[in-house]
Amino acid sequence: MKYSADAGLVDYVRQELVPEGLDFNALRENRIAVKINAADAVTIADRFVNKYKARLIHETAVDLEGSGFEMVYIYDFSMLKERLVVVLEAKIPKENPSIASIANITWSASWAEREIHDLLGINPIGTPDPRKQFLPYEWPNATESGTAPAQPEKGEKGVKDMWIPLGIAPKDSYATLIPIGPYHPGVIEGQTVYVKVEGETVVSADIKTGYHHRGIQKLIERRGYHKGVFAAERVCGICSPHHGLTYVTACENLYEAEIPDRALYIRSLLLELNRIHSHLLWIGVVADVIGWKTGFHLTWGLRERVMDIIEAITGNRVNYGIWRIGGVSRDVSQELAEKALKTVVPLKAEMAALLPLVAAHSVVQSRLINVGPLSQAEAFDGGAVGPVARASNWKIDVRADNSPHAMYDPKKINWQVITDDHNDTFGRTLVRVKELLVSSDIVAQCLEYLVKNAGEVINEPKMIPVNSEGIGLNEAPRGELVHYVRASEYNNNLPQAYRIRTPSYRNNAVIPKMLVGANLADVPVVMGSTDQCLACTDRVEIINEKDGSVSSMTWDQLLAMSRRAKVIR
Amino acid sequence: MGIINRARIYSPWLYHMHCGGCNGCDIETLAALAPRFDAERFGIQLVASPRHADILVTTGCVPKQFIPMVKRVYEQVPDPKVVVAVGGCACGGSLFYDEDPENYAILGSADLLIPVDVYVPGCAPKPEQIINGIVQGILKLAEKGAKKDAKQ
Repeated sequence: MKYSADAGLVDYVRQELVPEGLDFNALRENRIAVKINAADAVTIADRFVNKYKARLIHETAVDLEGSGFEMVYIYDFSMLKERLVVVLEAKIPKENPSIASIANITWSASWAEREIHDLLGINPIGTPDPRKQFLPYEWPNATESGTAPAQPEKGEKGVKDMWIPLGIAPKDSYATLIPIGPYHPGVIEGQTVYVKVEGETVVSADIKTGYHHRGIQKLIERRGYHKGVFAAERVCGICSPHHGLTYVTACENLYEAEIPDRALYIRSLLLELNRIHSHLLWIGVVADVIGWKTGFHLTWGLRERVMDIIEAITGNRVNYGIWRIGGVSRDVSQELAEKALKTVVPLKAEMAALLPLVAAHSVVQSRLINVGPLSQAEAFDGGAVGPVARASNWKIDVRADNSPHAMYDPKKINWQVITDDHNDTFGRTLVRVKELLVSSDIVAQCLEYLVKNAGEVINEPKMIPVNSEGIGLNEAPRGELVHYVRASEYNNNLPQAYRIRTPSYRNNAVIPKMLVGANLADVPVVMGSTDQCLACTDRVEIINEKDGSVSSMTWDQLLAMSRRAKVIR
Repeated sequence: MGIINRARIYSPWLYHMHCGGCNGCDIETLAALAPRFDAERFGIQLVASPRHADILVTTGCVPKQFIPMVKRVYEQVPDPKVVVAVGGCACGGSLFYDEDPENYAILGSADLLIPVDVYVPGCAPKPEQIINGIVQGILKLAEKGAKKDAKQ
């Protein structure tokens, strides 16, 4: 399948969307790069978000070595024109780099601006939350070239009082601060969640991530495109095929790629098998947290059978190592596909039985309904993605809007986007359970194709051109995943810049909002409801604030408390 | 063999320490305890506090931000203790470890910080391999316990 671009789009973007653009460059597959003045970035963001209801996918920056930095704003316009993504690029000088913040227009930019400040030293002027993202809070200066943001003076409201995500002010009186983490066994990975409670009710919350920063972006920038496939897979072990595919999609975006149909079906097959295993894993973890041990054992038992199919196809259980730029490295033989098809059909029946079990279970209902509410407007403002956004009745799914280089064509594969209007943790559970069935449908259709047809699985690799840009979008189990690759100006084998924006990165930013108003005992459930994956988020503390009001609580105590909570409300 | 030592090797408790990997080894470690492989039938149990543990299972290359925490968790495990490093990252840093130029965020394998007794390589190792590694760890635990008994 060859991915074509709409030639008239450049004129549309020039006349309609960005009249102040300096230079328009049609990238492949309806992605338009527009050079703008750095001073116009705020007005354009305002117009995009408020007038066209566009969505900021990511804000990042590229180091152009001698000639300064380039800010990159990636906007999704797929609801206006098919697969349209507008990339705004604004040059800023190397000396004392700074840019006007757009986080007041769209909250989605807030974490991105903290990241830019940490990793590149660009100062976002006027950003509502200037704290460190990946570095510890008390780190003295951002980077060598950057300047530290203004620290609040004594007597002024300090950093501790600034946990006001989405504008919710903490009530100071009678509040107790409880840090959860950084190292606690429940959510395996390191993070610190601070919750401020009055009695049992959470009045304010904040989350500190960044312990897992592994510098993968930099590793890929110096190892080249083909080794990058394996590094990209290891961003996250749970959704590793999604990272692998998104990276490959971004690289195929750099040149005129043509991918064999059979490879596309194999890609879809593996992505959906992975989604099934990831969602089953999540249901098991939440069932464990709310004290429903039967659910945990049921889902983890089912999951092993999915892993068997994955292992038979790729040879691995976790990192598949099957992705290649231009196709996949291994074919699925017809006998194997037939055998897998025979396993998938009873598996689907068992997963269908899971739906009434979860939806009607009194423990599940009493612990999840109205816990961690998030309305549709809040989901849009906060930039939630994936099942969290879909459970707020927002029909957003990258597979449908802006599909990756895999087979999600509605003409060839019959599937639909699942939404739910519960707007809470129960809704998120229902969305995921229903998605299990949709995914197993896609898996069955892909396997049927693989049984009936034969063909190549990889095309001869082509030279990756210099001076090119690629964007890979994909719907990972946790939501929209973006990889951005900028080819080098002179080297055919190395990217100039490589950026990842993961779904958990967005959903974690919404967690404090969902926690406010919750019961302390529900905190683990709400945190779990976004399916946090911090290996993804940080890719990339020990702050133990000890003053009079600080007490600490281990995850066990919290979990025990959570299990003691009344079943019937 | 003293009774405490005997009890210890028949029901070793694990503390799972994730020090900055990709989550792959962690889900495989959990899968080893889930219904299919069910390591709990051997008395192997996952505990939530390092103070209760006999065996420390580490996964992942250690990012520099994790250094003090890894040391502290190791010190909290009571003697005699055994450390099992699960996965390529915990054994040698895997692809995250880079010497020249150095990866700014990563320290490398866990044995640069704490003494490791058993290495389980693989990316990611299968649950059978992990259970085998833990069994090797139990043998070492028996040795260490016997030594401690002899000292007393």
